[in-house]
Amino acid sequence: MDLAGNVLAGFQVSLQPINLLYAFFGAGIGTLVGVLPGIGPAGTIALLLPLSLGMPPVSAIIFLAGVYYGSMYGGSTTSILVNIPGEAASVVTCLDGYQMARQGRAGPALGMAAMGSFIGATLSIVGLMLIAPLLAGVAREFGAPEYFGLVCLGVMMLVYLSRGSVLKSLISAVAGLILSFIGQDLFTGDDRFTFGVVELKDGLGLVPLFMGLFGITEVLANLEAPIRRQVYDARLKNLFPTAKDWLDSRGAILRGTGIGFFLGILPGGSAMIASFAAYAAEKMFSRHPERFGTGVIEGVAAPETANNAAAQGAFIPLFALGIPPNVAMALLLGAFVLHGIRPGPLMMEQHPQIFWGAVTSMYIGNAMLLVFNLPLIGLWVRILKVPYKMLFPLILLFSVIGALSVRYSPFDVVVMILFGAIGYVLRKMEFEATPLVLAFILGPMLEQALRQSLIISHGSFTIFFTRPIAAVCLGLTLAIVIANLVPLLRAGRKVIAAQETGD
Amino acid sequence: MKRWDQRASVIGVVLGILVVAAALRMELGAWNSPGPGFLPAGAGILLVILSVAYGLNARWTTDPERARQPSPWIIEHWRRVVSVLVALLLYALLLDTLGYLIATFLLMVVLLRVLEPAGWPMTLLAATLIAGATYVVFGKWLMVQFPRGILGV
Amino acid sequence: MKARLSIVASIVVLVVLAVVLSRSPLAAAEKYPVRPVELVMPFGPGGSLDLQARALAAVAMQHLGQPFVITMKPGAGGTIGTAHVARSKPDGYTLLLTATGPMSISLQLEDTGYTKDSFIPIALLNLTPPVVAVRTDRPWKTLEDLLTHIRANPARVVYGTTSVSGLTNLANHMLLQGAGIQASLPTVPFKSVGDQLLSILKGDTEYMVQIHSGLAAYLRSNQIRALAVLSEKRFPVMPDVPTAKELGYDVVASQWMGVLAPKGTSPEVVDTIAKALGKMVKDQSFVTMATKMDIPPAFLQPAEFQEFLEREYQKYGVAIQRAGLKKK
Repeated sequence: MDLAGNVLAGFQVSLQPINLLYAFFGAGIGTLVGVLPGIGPAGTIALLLPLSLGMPPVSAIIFLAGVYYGSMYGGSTTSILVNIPGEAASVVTCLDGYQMARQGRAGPALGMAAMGSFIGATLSIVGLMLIAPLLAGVAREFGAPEYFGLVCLGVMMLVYLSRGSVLKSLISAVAGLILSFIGQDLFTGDDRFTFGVVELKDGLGLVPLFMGLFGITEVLANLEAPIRRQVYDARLKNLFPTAKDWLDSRGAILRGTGIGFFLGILPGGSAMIASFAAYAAEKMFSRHPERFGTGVIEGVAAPETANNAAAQGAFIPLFALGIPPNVAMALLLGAFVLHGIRPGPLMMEQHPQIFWGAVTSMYIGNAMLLVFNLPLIGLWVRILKVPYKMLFPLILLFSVIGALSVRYSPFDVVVMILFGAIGYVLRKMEFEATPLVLAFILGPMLEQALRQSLIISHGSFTIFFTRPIAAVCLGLTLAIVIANLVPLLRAGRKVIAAQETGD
Repeated sequence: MKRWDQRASVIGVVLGILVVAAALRMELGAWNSPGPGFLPAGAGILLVILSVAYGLNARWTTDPERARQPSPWIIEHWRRVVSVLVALLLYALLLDTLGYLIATFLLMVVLLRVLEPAGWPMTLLAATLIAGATYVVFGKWLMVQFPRGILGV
Repeated sequence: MKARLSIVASIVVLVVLAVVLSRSPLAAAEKYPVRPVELVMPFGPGGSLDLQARALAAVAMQHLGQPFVITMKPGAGGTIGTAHVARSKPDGYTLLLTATGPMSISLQLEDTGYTKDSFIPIALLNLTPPVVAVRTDRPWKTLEDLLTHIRANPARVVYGTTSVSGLTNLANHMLLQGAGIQASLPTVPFKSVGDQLLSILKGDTEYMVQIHSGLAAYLRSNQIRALAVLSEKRFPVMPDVPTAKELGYDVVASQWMGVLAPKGTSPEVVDTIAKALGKMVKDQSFVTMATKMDIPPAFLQPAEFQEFLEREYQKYGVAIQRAGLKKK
């Protein structure tokens, strides 16, 4: 059956009223879950699984998939409004989105987030339709050495996330790296830096970490100012992105889609990493990189487009390989299995109506989400008008609930608050939290890939040069390092020169 | 600010050394088969080096604009910040004993009084509503397992 | 005045007594269970245990009279959740739904906060075997082929595992020892079955020992080949694959799922749950779901389950010693 025939057949399934309903509810629930900090799509899909058992297979998939990609829409809302990432994938959106909100531009930020999400998702779905099997083949080429190369490249992105002093960003990053070592070592089972605390065996939770560093710190920082100064600029400037906003963002959207889709395909790649990478890439290519972090629209467009593109891309390893790239997809795999379908190499042949039905339903779901989310912007923006004395306790409480919803452990709440305090101190000393969080995520990936590669190669480092993909990534990394080192050296020379002439 | 930078860099060096010390107690392995202590040791060393660079940079360069800024630790409303932090920490530590409902109620009472307190009736009402509503919405509907205290809620 | 005070005081005392007594076991001894039973699962969402738990919960209400509420308490390979149940009140409303690892293996490797006597076994619900598998285009058609290859040059055969101190890796040790292979193979740990599979397909690792359900799709599409199953008898889902036992290697290391209660739970409660579970396991919709997951149900009564666990504990204890996996 050719592509057009498949797509048509797919729409016949997904346009059935019952499936439209499931898509709507799934996406709606997903958005809500994305807005609420902490509770993520994985936990929600786990909750809804029993419900989905009573549905016909394709409907169940449509419903649960909707929850997943829907959550990528909602996550940016709290990031923009109150600097609390609703989702790990929305952490980077805080950087510029929140600043825009403080400047009275919450509307355009939210609007661009929604529309960028839609564009990223839709283009990804096209990719999913056209080249799913091909892309699956690409995913299969990635072994440990290739991941090492890719993560090294990702670590370079760290440099581009810093707003201020590169040195301080590096220190933040190393701190994040050290924090990531806490927990049980994957290779030997030894406990590292756990000091006998049982709850630390699995390491510090990512959610309490970033909610403390971003959300709690922000509240503390806002409390120190006199009440007269408004946290949010009361004058609302437009409710939607302007024409200029669109013009500024077109590159970000295109690049974000590409980066997001590619990273989403890889088992292990994730929406979160895609959002970081897209933001950093955008800053790298921008004519005014120093403006990033002050509230530029591209800083919202890039990560939001990328994380949705990645979310859609994540379906590829699931459908075509039967290998779920993250926990939420693993649950979706479970849903498939409970309905008697085994996603994987045979699925497209044996159950084409399910594959095409689900894929076409994603178009519909994303379109619904766009229509659904845009009018809500007016509502969200109104929330910012609540007096801060009432708003901040609510913000703190939602952060607590978010932290609790990960492992239902009060220990995570303690961690979050501690990092809120630490983040506050860091901010006072003009250190940034973003490199810390990124290093915290990438660090273990880097270590794991490195150690796995060395076992596979029996201790030889040449594996990184003989495997083409790994070699290319490492080469690019080196190129970026050198490109950045040159201006630093020049600046260093200036300092020394200034010293010699007596300050 | 400069002085604080220098002090911070010393803290960084100390932390880095501690990390290396802890890492050395684990198996380091070899270059081509790193053990659990390998990367932590490397990270610790890196932290020391970067902290030294940071301290020296603070010592030797003077950014006139930054020098004019007051110490970052002079905070107009430091009492607010501290009380919120303390309240949050106590809340987290008492969460298991008191249970979500009661602990949250108490926390809300404290927090709502930090900025422009609104009088006790309003505060108590708001605290009850918020604690109760979130308990129902998140605890019952969304099935978040809230900690239960001695009274079972 | 004094009279009023004493009346108020007595009312208060009565109210307090009522509250306190209503929570006591006396009230609840009516007809267990009177409220939903919490089933603690020490693993995270998405795994095969999670799916089976949900399948079980779906049929619980009819056979038990109360629903099962599944609580996830993941972490540290299942030991955190297990320790949590060990410390819970033995009133029959908190039960453990778990698998082999935390109950028979982890506690022999490190201090987990519970011992094998911390629980009363109620019922075993299924058994799934690990499979020894290689990529289909590799030259080894039988288990013997693979073992010969490993014997020839153990240092060059890269093996991948998802559980350094867990069941499948231990099973691999048992197999290698049975084959007389003392040297240890370069072992690559993976975080998930997916990663482990991809590594096999890419050719970075040579073979894997993994629970069948994680490999089913790839076995069916013939991208990997099963050389042997590590169970007592041939696995019904793959009747053509011999057991290691048949081939001369006595390695039986099946993954099981079962329900246990904290020590001190009354025998009546244990009996009630066991009977209910026995019915659930035969329930048509449960059987259908389990079959779809390629996990045929089984059933062992409390006494049989207890014996089974004793044997498992011994078996793995010996294997751990022989494999030199230190006790931390």
